[in-house]
Amino acid sequence: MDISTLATMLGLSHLLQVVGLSVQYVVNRTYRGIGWWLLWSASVAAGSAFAVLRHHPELRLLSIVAQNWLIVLGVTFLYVGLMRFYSRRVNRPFVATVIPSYLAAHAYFTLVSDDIWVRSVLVNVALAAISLFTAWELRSARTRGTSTSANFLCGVLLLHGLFFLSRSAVILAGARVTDFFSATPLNIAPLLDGFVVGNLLAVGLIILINQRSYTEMVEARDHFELLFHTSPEAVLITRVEDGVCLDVNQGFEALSGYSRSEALGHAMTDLDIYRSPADRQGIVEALKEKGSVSSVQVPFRRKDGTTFVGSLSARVFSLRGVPHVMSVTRDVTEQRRAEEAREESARQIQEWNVRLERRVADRTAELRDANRELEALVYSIAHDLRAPLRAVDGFSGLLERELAGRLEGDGVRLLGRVRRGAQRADRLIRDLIQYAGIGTVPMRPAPVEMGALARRAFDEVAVEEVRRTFRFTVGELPPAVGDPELLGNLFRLLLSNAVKFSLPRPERRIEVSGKREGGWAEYRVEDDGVGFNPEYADKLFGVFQQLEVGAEVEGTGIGLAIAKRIAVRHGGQIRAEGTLNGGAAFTFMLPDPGAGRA
Amino acid sequence: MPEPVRILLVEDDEGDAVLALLALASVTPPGSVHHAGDGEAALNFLFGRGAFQGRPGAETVRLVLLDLKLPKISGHEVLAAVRAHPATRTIPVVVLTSSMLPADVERCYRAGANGFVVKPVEFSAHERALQELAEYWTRLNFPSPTWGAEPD
Repeated sequence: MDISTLATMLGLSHLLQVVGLSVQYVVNRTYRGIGWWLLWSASVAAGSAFAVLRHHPELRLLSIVAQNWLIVLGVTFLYVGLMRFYSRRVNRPFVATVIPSYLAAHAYFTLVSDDIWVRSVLVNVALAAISLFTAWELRSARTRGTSTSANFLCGVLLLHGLFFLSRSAVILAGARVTDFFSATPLNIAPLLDGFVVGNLLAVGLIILINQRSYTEMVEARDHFELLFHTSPEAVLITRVEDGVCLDVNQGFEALSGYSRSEALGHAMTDLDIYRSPADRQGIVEALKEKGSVSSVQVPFRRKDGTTFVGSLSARVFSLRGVPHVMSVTRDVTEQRRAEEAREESARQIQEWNVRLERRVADRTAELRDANRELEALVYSIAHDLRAPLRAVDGFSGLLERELAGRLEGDGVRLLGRVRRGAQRADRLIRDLIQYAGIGTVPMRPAPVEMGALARRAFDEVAVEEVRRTFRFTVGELPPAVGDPELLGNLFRLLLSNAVKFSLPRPERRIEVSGKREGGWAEYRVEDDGVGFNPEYADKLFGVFQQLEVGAEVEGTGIGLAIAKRIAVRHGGQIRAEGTLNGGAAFTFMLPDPGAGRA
Repeated sequence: MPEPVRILLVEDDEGDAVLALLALASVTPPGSVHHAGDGEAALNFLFGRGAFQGRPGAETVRLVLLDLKLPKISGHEVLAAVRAHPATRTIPVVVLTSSMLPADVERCYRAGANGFVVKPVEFSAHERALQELAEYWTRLNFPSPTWGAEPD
């Protein structure tokens, strides 16, 4: 057998492997490691080419080094590629010690000390070691989905390694190593091995890629099917062209009541699943126009005639070149019902609110009308009552004048009683009108100098002779903002009370004082008059609540009620302190206009 | 020649009317006060209608004392009628009433009242009020020269 012919054939077969793996490399971009395999086949092919160059005497030594280096490196690349393919770590210590040692030793025994026997031992041991190591590593790296092809590759590598191991043994045992081109069995065997193993490895690698991608595809499909069938939502694949159903999941069976066999091969229109055909038409139109629809709420009919509302999303996709629709439908009947209930209750609350507001407005208007009527009634009564009172007092007055000097003492006194009664009734009526009117007359608030107001009020409630009998003092009073007319009236009421209840006492003192405290401006009118029983302090401010103080004090009993109304109208309050025969103090508080600024 | 009527008292309450006439009697010549018991009578007197046909009182009257609550034609309506007619437009009208309703006061002034007096209940105060009104409007006050002039 001609060694050169064998080497050439080996080189050509390696070239074919390069072509095959190049195609794999180009086609398959998802897997790592294929590039290294390409490097393996290229290295081995180049090594074969160098083997042929040994014929030239001047290139012989270089060719020997290159050929052996490339062959050993090629197997190393194969190892690295397999590790990469399986995402395993390359055993760096092995690669970093064995490979460089071999390369260095081989170069030494070629270029420095040309010893063919040592070289043969070196290359055989190195190839055996790398092949066996690779087989071993691949065995632990292989996955279940690729075990067949990985086992095949392991077997080939094992044979390869054992071959070189036995060849090493033969050489070590003393077999004569001859020139590469002498056709001894020892020389022919590695070439045949290279030929067979190279092809088997290349085929094995391609099968490995295929097996892995097939396995992964099956897994992906299984995953999808699992997803498809475990989804509680109804998934449906139909052909666009005629609406014929290609696949449904268990979710569809559960939701629609139709079994898979009833649905497959039938058009959706046959199943009569849409309660309104217009809905289906609308979805088909939308799909034609946009390619997808999302969360469309559609009323559906089950096989048993019951209905539900589904939220449907669908997308057009291509299956074997034919447009299909995948739709996913979720039952939202409950959701819809809850939503509707929520909307309904919100609407009802809204309605109640509106009704309530209307009722409040009606009642307020009624109340306002009633108030106005009441007010009109008060004025009308006042008017009507005053005329007869005027007649009583007027004609009694006339009588008094007519009979002047002719009347006995009793007569004068009785007539006086009639007139006083009439006048008192008139005062009552006027006070009542004032009390009723406090709330209705619009206020004209202005800054008020309270000290001056108090002094003027005192002048107004008592004549000079009476005033002279009083020790009247006005302290420093905080300014207020209010209706000057009403506040003046308030002082008049309190001061006239103080004067009135002080008259029976020898010690007549009225002190007006004030202070600012806690956002309030306080004004205090204090006297040493007859006072009152503190038990009744709260009752003082009611209408007609004058306490029994004796015949010498006159009053209608409305004054303090009016005073309170004025204070309250200003956002303030009023309180009374006193003891029986120990004087009284009335304090009214108004919001302090200066409080906000501090 | 009877005394010309200077004051027209429009008052429906008999007691009030008697007291007012008595009060006025001491400060005015006899016959110079005319009492009308309701709004219609008052307008008839002023414009010379009905019982006063051809004798329009407006020509001599210098003061109308007008109550608001009147039967038939109310005080407000009388006031409006007086102010609407050229012959009576400038006659002083003082509203004399028991009403203290702020809305009434406002309404009367807007309608052209010259005064608003609340009738006192107390006998002498009432008497004094009427007498002062009569004194002022019939003695002190200088009337408008176009008084009682025929409409243009």
